[in-house]
Amino acid sequence: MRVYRNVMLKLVVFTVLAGVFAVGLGGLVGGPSDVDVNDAGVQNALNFAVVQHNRGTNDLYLSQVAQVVKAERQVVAGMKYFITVRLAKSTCKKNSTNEVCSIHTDPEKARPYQCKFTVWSRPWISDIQLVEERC
Amino acid sequence: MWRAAFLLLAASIAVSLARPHLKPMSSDMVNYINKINTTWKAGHNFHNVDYSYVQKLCGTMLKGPKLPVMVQYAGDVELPKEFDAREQWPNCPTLKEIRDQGSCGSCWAFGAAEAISDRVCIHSNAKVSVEISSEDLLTCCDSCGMGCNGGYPSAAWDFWTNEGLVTGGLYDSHVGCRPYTIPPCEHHVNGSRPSCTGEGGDTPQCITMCESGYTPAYKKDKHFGKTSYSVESDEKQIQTEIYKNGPVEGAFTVYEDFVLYKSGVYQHVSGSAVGGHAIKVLGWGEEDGVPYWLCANSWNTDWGDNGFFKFLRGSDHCGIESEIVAGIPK
Repeated sequence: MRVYRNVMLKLVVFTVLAGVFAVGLGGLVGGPSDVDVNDAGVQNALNFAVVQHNRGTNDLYLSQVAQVVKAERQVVAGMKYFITVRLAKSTCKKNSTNEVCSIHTDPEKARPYQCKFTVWSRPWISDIQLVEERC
Repeated sequence: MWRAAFLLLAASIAVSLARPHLKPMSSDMVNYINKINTTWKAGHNFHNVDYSYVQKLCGTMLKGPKLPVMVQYAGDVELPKEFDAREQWPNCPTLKEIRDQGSCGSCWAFGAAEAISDRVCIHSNAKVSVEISSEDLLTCCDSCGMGCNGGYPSAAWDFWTNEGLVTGGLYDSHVGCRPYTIPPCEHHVNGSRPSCTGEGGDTPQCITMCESGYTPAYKKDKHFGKTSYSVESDEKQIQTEIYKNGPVEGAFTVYEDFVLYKSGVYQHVSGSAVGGHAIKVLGWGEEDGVPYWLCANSWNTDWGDNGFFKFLRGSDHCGIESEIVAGIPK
């Protein structure tokens, strides 16, 4: 009886496993996933986004990245980056030629704020664009 | 306290960050790929990508819905060394077509709609030649996943058998019931494509009506599948399926170097994993002794080899042989 039960159990287990392996396992494709904020592609996309962002504001001072909160990357036709950052005002005026721009040490002047940038990159046609910014 | 913390943060970051400007983007990876004498060539561009030469094993993907596995009796089929569905079925024009998914993660819908279009033609002996709408699949299949934020190829084929798919061509083509509504735009003023306006990446609406001027009505325009299935993760099985029934949809893990592909047989040599990507597989062959799958991407004709690419065959490279799905038209 006990042997029979064992055999039955094995049979059941085998059948269940066979069922699992007999069906195709489809994976989600085309979705965004987290990426290291230090990734070169992320940094490139972020630099581009910040330049575009600064062009779009009429503030006297350039904004500068204080902290990258989150970065995601997605395969579309090319790559798409979703980057959430804390920005703050730097000491550089927009038309200045300073090479080093540090963030205002006075928080009143730094006025930190958060933005989410969406950057779409297609290197084969040398195309990179800031498709969305939410600040 | 906050002030002190901010000062510290600002100080530490200010040191490492210079004035924000667009660096001259490096083509290091392209040069690297072309220099190491691998099986493929990269295109020159200005993208700044990860420069780590670490060769990583290709990753696997998240698991989703299931389809029954079709196991073919391959014993009686003599498979050729090379096979190109475009040459096998010259009267089916969609086999030669390359589409463009734009800024949307709709690869899963494109791989399916492209292969289904081909199969509708092949199985009708070229009597029915239509472009199956990626738009209809992308926007109306709720069980397929998350639209522009990713989806399941298996669910796409299942949707075709249950709900059917209407026709629809490329963006702005006015071909079929529901053409694609996401533009293949570009940023350059002097580019050949329309310029972009607010491509946020939202999934378009499921509209159960055809574009004005198109007949028949939406419901009458639906094309159905008789069966949908996944193909065993086996080279011969996949070959037999393509040989007998036409192109299939496949998926693999994209690494950064894939974007740079120009010609030859792609295999991952550089860069980190980006995510899963679905494509159409329409044949196979060997180039300089390297076996490959012939595939169609949905990144327009200016990417890769006129929109097509060759991918290393026979070793489940990046999972290419483990996610094959297909179906038979009604």
